Amino acid sequence: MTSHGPISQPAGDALRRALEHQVAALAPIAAGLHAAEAHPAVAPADWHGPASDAYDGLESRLRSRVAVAERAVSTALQTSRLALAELGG
Amino acid sequence: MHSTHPPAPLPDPALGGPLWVTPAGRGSQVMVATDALLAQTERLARLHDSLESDAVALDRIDALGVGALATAAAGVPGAAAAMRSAAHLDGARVAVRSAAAVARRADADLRQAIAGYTAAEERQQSQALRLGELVGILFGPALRGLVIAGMPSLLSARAAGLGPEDLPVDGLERWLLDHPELITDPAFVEGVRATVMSIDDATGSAMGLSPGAVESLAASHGFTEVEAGAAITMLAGGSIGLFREGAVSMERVTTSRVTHGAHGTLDRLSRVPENDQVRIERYDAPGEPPRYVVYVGPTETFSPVATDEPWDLTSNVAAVAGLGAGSLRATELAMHDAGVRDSDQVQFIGFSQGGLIAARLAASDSWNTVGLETYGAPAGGIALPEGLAGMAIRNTDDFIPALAGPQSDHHLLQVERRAFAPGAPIPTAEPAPAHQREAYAATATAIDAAESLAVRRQIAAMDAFTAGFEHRDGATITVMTYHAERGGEKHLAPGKSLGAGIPAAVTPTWSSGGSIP
Repeated sequence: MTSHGPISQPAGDALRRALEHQVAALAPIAAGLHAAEAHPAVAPADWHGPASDAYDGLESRLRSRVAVAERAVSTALQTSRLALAELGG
Repeated sequence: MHSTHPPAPLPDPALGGPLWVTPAGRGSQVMVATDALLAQTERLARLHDSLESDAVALDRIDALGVGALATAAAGVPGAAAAMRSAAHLDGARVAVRSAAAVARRADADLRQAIAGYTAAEERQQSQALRLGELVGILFGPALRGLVIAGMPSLLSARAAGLGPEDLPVDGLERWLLDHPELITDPAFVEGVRATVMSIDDATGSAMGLSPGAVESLAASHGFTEVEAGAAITMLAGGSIGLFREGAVSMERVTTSRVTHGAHGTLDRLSRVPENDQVRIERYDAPGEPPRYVVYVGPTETFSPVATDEPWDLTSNVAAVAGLGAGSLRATELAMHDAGVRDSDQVQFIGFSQGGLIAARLAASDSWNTVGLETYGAPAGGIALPEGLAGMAIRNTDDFIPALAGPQSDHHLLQVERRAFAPGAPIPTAEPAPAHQREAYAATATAIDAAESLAVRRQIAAMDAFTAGFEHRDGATITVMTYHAERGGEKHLAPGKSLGAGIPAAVTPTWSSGGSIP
């Protein structure tokens, strides 16, 4: 175990405040991305033809990228909360 | 031709096709897309904006410096997790920007697909119209032969006491009833559109003039495109007793109160009158000038011979030509009677011929028009002012709007839909089923359920004009209905605009001279 000492206390406070801001700012972004992933923008089913076929691939890619972004932001949020908990925040 | 008001029962809107939407725009801005596709582009644009906004927010979070602070606090419980959160944040920034880029690309690709469809549609229509012109020029000499050959028969008929009222109009109606699948085919509608646009060329060719000569001559007299064809039709018909305009008289038949303004497209359509051809709603609230909604009814008779009904074929042709149609003059007389001043804000709502008249009035400088909503109106060539709320609604399998040629004005949202999708049962009880009020009621129902902002904003703007009067102290909504007739037997002394206040219980009658300008 390392000694926390007098230097680490202010640094720990500053880190806690920054993490609190980070969690507060990440939470709505994560919620928004979660909603976007749950309700993806889907082209109408009665749209057919070459343009529709080309667009279908793009739409799948978009869904996948939104899902990746949602996971990344959620992970950042969870890790930030974990760090705060460990800091005693 | 039209069924009685109110419509019942409504046909299932699912029997029709998707809504096609052309937002107001000009030149290359004009685009045509289904409501669902437009809604999708709007969703993608919103998603892109939201992701971009998230990316900016993540940059701000990164600027909090959690990574650096965690390094400085190394050894403190939570510092290691904080460092991992900073690394995850970097990953999140990259992922969100990547998603934003794909959203932008998807939106751009979808808009490009819509632009491609719009261009193809314009090319197709342009080719159809050019083909119509060529057919008109080619068949002009044959038309001349027919006229010359038919002249003895016409003179004999006149000598025998037969007039234009003896024309076999019933036969035409029977034919229309017998062929619902033909006249509700969009291809037939496009044929009608091309035919009316070729009248001037066919006339010129029949007279032995060079192509474009009649169009130039008509333009020199102020007639443009389909207006020229309609004016020629009036001129030619007039020589055998058809399409003769004249004086009209107007009478207010009822004055009553309602509690609510119209809400939604279907509600507005249901307020369009029938038989009594004009309905005017006057909205009064303390401290404000009155505002008005003028509802104009559809054609009541399709006889080409003017009788006592001003909502007839003569008014249709005259209004398409931009001449002083009897129904237009009668509507203005009703407006004067209702107290509408040129500064008062007015919405015009009309079905069929009523829509044509509504568009003509909205286009004139005489009224302070703020909104226009038409259903199945042959009014595509009327140049409207910018900034009007509302929309022009047409069924693409309804040939009546095609009688005014292609849609050349784009200052108003256009919403189109096939009333009877391929394979759907087509009613045979009335001619031109896609032009019936019930068919437009189904389309209005679909419009009220539209998803795209382009449509929803216009519905909201129309609703907002008359919304909330029921909750305002001292506010009233007065409804006046009018009946007009051709003929000037009933007259009222001039200056009878009732102005402010509720109109008197008496039913004033006005008359308007009917000379064609």
